[in-house]
Amino acid sequence: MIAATGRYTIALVREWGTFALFAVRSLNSLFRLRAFPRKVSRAVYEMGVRCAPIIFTVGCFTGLVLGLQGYFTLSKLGSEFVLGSTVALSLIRELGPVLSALMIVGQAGSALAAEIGIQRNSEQIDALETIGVNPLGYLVGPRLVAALIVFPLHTAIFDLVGIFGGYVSGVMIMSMDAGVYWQNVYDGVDRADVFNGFYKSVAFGFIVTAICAFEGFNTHRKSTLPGARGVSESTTRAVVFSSIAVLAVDFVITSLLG
Amino acid sequence: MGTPFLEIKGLKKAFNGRVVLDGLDLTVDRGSITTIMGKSGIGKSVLLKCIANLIEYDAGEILLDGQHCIGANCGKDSPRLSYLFQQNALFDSMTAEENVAFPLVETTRLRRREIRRKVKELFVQLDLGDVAAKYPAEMSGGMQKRVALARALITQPQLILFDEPTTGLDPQRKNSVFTMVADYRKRFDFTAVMVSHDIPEALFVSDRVAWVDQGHVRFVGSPTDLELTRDPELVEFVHHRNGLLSDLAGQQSRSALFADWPDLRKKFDEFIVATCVTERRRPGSDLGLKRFASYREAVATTARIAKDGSSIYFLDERHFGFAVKSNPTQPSLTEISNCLRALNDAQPLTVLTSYHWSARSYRLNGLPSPSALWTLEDLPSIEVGAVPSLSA
Repeated sequence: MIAATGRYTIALVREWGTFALFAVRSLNSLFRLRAFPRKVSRAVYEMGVRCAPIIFTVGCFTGLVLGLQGYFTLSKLGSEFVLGSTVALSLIRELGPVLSALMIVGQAGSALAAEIGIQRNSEQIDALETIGVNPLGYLVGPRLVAALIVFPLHTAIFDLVGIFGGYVSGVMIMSMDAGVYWQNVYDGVDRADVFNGFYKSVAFGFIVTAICAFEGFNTHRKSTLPGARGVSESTTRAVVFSSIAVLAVDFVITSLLG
Repeated sequence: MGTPFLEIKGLKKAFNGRVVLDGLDLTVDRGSITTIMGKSGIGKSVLLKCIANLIEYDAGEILLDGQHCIGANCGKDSPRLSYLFQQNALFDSMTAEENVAFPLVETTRLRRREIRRKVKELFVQLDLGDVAAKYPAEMSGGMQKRVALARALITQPQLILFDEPTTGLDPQRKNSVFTMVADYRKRFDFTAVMVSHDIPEALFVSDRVAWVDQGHVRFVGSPTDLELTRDPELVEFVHHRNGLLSDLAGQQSRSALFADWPDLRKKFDEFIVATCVTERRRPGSDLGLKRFASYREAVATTARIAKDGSSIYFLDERHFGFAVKSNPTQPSLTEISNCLRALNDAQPLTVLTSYHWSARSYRLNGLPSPSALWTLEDLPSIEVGAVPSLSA
C-alpha cells in the first residue's frame, strides 16, 4: 500500500515535471519560429472564430438565468436594486473566466488534442522532426500565444453578453428600472474586478492549451490503446484534466487576489 | 577504401527491458543503397529512427559523414537527411504542392517565388503535375508515395531513410517504387538505407544487404553474397517461398533435412535427388504455377518408391530428394527414373514450356552435410534438345 502510494506519487511528480518542461520548451521554441505573426494570427482565428458562437450563446443564457435567480433571491431581502452589480461581479470575477474557459476546452481544446494526437499517430510529428522543424514550435507555441489573446477576449465577450442577459431578465422581464440596473453595474464594478477576471482568463488560456497540446502530443506514450481509440482517450483526458485545472487554478487565484 | 558515409557502432536500444538493438554495428558507403532485412519486430524501423534521431538510443554511436549530430537542430553544416515513412506521413491538411514546399518554407530563407519554381521543377521531374492541388486523401497509395519522396528530395538530402517503402502496394506499384528509388538515386545522387521485406525485388536495387537478427547484424554483403549464403536460417528467410512450396507439396523442409541428417547417414546408404529442368520453346516465363503442379506430381509419383526410405525432403523449388538403402536386386534409382520418365512423356508436345525430371544418386557417406547437395549440377532452364539424359 505504502509502496504503491510512493510509486503513484513519483509517477505523478514525474508527469508534472514532464508537463512543465513541455510548456517551457513550447514557449522557448517560439524564439526560433519562422513566420511567427502569421502562425499566431492563424491560431487566433481558428480558436477565436471556432469558439465565438458558443461563448456568445452560453454567455447570454448565463446572464439571463443569473438575472432571474438574482432577482428572485434579492427581492426576498428587498435588495433587488443591486441586481446589476450582482450579475456583473459574478460574471466578471468568476463565471465569465471559468465558463468561457470550460466552453473553449470543450470546443477548441478537444479539437487541439485530437488534431495533435492524430498527427502523432500518423507520424506527421516525426516527419516534422526529420524535416528540421521543431514540432513544439510549429504545433504548440503559436497556439499558446493565441490562447493568451483569445481567452481574455472571449471572457470579455462572455461578460458583456452576460450582463446584457441580466438586463433582459431584470429589466425587460421582471420590470426593474433600467437606469437602476446600469448605474448599479457601473457602481459595483471597479478596475480590480476586471483585472481579477483578466488574470484568470490569461492563466486559464495558458494552462488549458498546454494540457490539451500535451495530451495530444503524448498520445502514443500515455494512451493504453493505439490508433483512433488512443486519440479518443487522450482527447477525453485533455478535456477532463483541463476542466479540473481551470477550477483548481480559479480557486488558487481567487484565494491569492481576493 | 575511404571512410564510410554512415557508421553505426555498438548501437543499443531497449524498450521496458526488452532489448531490441544489442550492440549493432553497420557501415554504409556513400552513394550506395543498403537494404536492411530481418523478421518483423526485430527493430529495423527502430534502427532507422535511431539514425534519424527520432528515438534516443541507450548506447553506441552513429556518425554521418564523420559527424555525431544527425537530424533536426544540428546546425547548417550537418549532413542533410530525409526520411520516407512507412505510411508516408504526408501532412493531411496540405495539398501535394504544399507538402513538398513545406521543408523549404520552414527551413530556408528562399523567396516564395523561388520555392514555387523548385517545387514545380521537381513535380515535372517526378511526373507529379496532375496532383499538385490534391490533398493526400485524394491520391492513390502509389501517388502518395511519390509525393512523399518528392518532399524527401526537395532539400537535396545526402541520406534518405526508407522505412518499408512498398507496404500496402500492389506488385506493379511495388516494382515502380523500387525502380523509382534506383532511378532517383542516380539522378539525385543520395545514399539510401532501406528497410524492406520484399525479396527478391528489394535485392535487385540494392548494393548491399544487411540482415538483422537478435539485435545484431548477422549478415552483411552484396545481394549475390546473400544468394550464396549457407546459413540455413537466412536461406529459409531469403527463400521464404520455398517453405510454402514444401508445405503445399507435403514434404519435409530444408531445416528438417539438416536436423535429420546424422540419423539419415546412419540408417541409409544413398540419397536420391530428383531435379527438374524447364524446357522453353519460346522466351518468357510463367508464374511458376505450372512448374509447381509438375513438382507436386513428381513428388506424388516418387512417394510410392520412397516408402521404404526416408521422408521426402524439399531442397528448393526444382529439387527434392530422399534417402534409401542400397538394394542391388531392385535399385531405387532405376525405379524412380522410370517413374519420372513416364511423367516427362505424359506432357503434351504442344505446350510451350515443359518440365523434364531426372534423378541422381549420391553416396551418403560421401556427403558430409546437406549443404553439399546445393552444389549439385544445377541447370535452371535450357533450350529444347539439350535435356540431360536420366542417370540410371
